Amino acid sequence: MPIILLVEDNEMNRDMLSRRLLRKGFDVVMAEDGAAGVARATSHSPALILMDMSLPVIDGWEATRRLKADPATAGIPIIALTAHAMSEDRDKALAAGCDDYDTKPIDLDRLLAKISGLLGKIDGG
Amino acid sequence: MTIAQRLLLSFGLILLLFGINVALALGEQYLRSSSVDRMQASAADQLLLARAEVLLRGLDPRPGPVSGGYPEALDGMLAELATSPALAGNSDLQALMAASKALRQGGLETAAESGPAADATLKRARAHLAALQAEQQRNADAVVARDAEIERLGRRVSIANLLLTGVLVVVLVLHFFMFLRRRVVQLNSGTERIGGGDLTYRIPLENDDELAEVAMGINRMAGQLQQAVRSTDEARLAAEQANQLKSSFLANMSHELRTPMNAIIGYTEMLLEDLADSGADPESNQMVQDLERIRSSGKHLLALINDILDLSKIEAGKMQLSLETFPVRALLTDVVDTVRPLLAKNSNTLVLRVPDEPGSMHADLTRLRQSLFNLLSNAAKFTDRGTVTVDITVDEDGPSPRIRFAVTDTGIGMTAEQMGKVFEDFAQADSSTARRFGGTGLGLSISRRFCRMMGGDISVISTAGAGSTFTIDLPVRVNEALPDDALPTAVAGADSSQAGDLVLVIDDDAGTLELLSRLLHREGYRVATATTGEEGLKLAASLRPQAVILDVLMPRLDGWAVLTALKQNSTTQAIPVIVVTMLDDRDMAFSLGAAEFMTKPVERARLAASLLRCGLVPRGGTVLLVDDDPQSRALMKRALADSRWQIMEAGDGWQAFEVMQQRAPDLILLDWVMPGMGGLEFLSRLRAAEKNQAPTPIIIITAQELAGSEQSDLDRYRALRMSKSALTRSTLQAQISLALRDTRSEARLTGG
Repeated sequence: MPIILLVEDNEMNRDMLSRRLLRKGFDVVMAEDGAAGVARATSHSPALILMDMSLPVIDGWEATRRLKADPATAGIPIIALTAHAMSEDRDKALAAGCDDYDTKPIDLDRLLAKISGLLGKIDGG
Repeated sequence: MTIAQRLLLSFGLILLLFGINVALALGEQYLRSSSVDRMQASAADQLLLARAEVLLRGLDPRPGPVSGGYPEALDGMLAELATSPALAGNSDLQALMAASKALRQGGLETAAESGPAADATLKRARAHLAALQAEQQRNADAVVARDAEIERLGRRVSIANLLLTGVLVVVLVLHFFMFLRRRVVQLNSGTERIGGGDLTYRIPLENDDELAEVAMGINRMAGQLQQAVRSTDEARLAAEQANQLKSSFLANMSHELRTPMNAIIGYTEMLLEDLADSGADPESNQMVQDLERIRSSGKHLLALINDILDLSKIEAGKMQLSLETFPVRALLTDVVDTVRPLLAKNSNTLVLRVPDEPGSMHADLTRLRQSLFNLLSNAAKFTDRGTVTVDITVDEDGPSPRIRFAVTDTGIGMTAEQMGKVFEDFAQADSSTARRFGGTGLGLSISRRFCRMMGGDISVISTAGAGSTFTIDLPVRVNEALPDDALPTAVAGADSSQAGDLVLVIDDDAGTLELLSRLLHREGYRVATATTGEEGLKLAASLRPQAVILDVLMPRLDGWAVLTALKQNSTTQAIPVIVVTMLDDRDMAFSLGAAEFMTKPVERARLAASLLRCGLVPRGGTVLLVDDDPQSRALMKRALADSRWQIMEAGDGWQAFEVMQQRAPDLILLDWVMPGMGGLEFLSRLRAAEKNQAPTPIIIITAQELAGSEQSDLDRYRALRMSKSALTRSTLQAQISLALRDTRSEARLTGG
């Protein structure tokens, strides 16, 4: 089963989303800040990263930039998750290197569609 | 130098000249009187000399007794002559006196002996007398000659003096006039410039006079105005900054709210999934129903947060339109599919009235879909077992085609008061409806803002208990640049000679003001705006616009009160008022004195026609004068002087058609009898050519009365008549408004 790395500082949201993903059959690795996220991405080589943007230590944009700059992790698709619904947040996330973007609160079906789209692209490619 | 000083100086100069005149006259008078004295003296001398001659002649120094003795009187006469200034010191007189003395002393008694000597003396005396007489005659002639000379000289001096005085007075008056004129023109252009909005302008202070004081006063006023405007600007800026802060606060807050909402909805859904997995029956299981309630409340709260975010984005100016071209039918299908479950819930029937070829439009698809969905879901919510109709119409007329989506329901409807508030933020018809029907109370407000950003609007017509019609009116092709247009706040268009008539728009809604201003600008009018009734009344009195466009539903002083006040004030009562409202209050408007009545949304063509009917002339309004007689055309031009009509001319019907090829006039003044193509033929040809358009307003100008059949021709061709002899500015203006009114309303009746 593909491993999904969930980088999220809010404990409740982390718990909730990880459990829902587990039910859908994904293996989930969690990180509670940007630095931990970058470290676990390197150590666990997940198939996909769900990245909150407002994170402590280093924020989601910076973490994304570092991951995309490292050849070892550059190929991992990243979906930005943010509670900011402004369109410039979307642009900012995409500019940092995120492959897709979704807003909180999570609509699980929509998120799953995006996940499978990105994973399918990797499988196909 | 002050004007008073200038006046005093001029007056002094004139007085001085007058003084010189008087002095010269006096001098002449004096010379004349002294010459009279001399002439009198000369006459007296002559008389004395004559008498002396008589006496001298009477003397006969022959021997023998003297008959009368020596005339003592002779001596006296000679003595008197000696006092005459003309003869004093004359040598002949001296000699004569000496001779006389010798004659008297020698005694004529002794002359008998010294007869020959006395005789010689006598002869000598007579010779001297004759010389004296000749001298006196010369003197008298000289006096007369001098007198004539004085007379001639005096006349020359007075003429020269008169001329000089006249020239000086003319020069002074001219100087004074030019000086005043230049200063007043300067003042006038200065005030116009400041009044036109250039508050940094200062009238130059050339002199230190009374007019300079006026200029200083105006400059001071401009300075204070500038100060006031600056502080208003600062206040506005501060308010805008505060508003921006509020918006970013809202955006942040919405982020903070979304995070816990994420958990609430997420966990609820997880629990629902768990229950579904464990085989709970959603119909009977209380826990499933409770969780569903939590989820739906969560979603409602989320919708509210999203709406607030939309609003704050719009207010922060961060909402950007993303324009694309899409087929109208696809949009409709999409929205209808989404809303169908809502319609089914209240057992409503959906009726679609769509043209066969609605075509595509260019707009922000997401925002338009959201707005349409909002109207449809409202209609579905507030209607129970009724009909919801979507009516799409495309208006291709005019330079920018428009599309209208009208959503009509047979639901609970609204009262006039509710209609006035329906587009306000968080305003639901009343709080009980919110409880019954749900909704955030922001949907219509947001939808309206979206539509206005796209250069359109949403309007509503409703009857309580019978249902409502909400209409989205948009340009078929939304212009990207539209929302960035600056909102004209004061009088736009400083160059009043080039611009059209001034229209004052009174509406409390900034969006409507902006829309109307833009429409009016495009029609070529100048625009002033007021956001309250009070401000509107003030501006109407001070600016004296050619028309007022008045909204009815305004806080505090509403449109009816404003209309009444306008009609009661003598300075504003003649200004035509166009009442624009969402309600159908036609009768009320006309009974209070409105010239025109229009329901919202205001269409450009209708507005333009209304203004023309009110006798307004936009920039570029053209009138075609058709008359073979140049003098008659000059007469018409004089009557049109000072109006803003642009004038075109033609000598007969053929020429008129040629001129109209280049530019269609807004009005034609037509002579009836012309060589070539006359008035009647022109009229019939024009009306035939205009079959499918609004007829051009025409006024026939004739010198003679028309026959009955000709009059009926005029009626048939919808032309008005006026007599050439009655052609004055005011009568022509009245007839023009009548013609514009007649043909336009006629066109509406037949065409509509």
